[in-house]
Amino acid sequence: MTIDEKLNLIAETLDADRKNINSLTVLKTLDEWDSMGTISIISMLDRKFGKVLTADEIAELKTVQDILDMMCA
Amino acid sequence: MINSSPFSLNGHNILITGASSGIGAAVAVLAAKNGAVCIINGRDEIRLNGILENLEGEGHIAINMDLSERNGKELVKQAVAVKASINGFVHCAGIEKTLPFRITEMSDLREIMKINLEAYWDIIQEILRRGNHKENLSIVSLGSVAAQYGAAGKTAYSASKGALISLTKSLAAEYANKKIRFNCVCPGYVDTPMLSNIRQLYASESDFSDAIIKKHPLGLGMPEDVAGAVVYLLSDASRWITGSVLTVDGGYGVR
Repeated sequence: MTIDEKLNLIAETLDADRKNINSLTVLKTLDEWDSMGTISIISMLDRKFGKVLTADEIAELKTVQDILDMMCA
Repeated sequence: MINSSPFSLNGHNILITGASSGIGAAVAVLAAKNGAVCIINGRDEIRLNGILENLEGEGHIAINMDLSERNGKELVKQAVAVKASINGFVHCAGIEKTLPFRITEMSDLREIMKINLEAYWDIIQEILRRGNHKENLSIVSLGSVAAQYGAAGKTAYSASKGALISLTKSLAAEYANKKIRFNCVCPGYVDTPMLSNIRQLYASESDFSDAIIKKHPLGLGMPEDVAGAVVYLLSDASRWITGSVLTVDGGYGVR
């Protein structure tokens, strides 16, 4: 999966405007990064990449790049 | 003393699914303490046998079976083969998924329905067959406040529990002439392995507390808090109660 495809997937998972999603985006600045958005990303990483995040790892998600780093399969 | 009480389950054969942990295990422990002979079912054989060893009284049995395979009728057949007939049934087996609706797939809904609703359906249909149950049969399902009040991220789960509530009421109407009772207990959030899975979805204990714990004026419930209501509904003390939804939620509904 290319970086662009991963960014598309993140935007789709968060139901966010793709224009607002790049690797430098700070998650807190997105309206979509609420509890449902967080759970959506956790679920996407589990289902598509087999990555089950710990509570500490969830707390460490600060930017879109942090999510990209988890999308390794 | 307890044996002459209407709250006693002395001599009652009670089938309990989901009994290897959480509310199911607590129901088994309390029912046995009140004189019941428990037929406990669960997926985890080691944990199930651990519960079995700790039940008061004699004659309890464990049937290790995964109910996702549409084998609820087989569970009843095995129970009846050993215990002749059943006085009560509690469906505590259940699965929960916290997922926003937009990413909840039909396969998620079906997975939840298989255990939460279809297994219950199969089991009671077999229990209701002539010869498989005794007089004054009492059946208790486990609903949820998620079905009563709604809960974000729990659409499939709450739909399954809502279906149980509706089913309970219609069955109560259909079987009242036979004195067979159906009731549903709707717990708030209870400190169980299921809740541990939900807790992991929150970034901090503080977030979890704000989202879940603080919504219960009496604090988070324990499995034993729900077991008392279930055992009451199994007993003759509740013989005039059917088709009811008993909320046991630490005040969640009055917040």
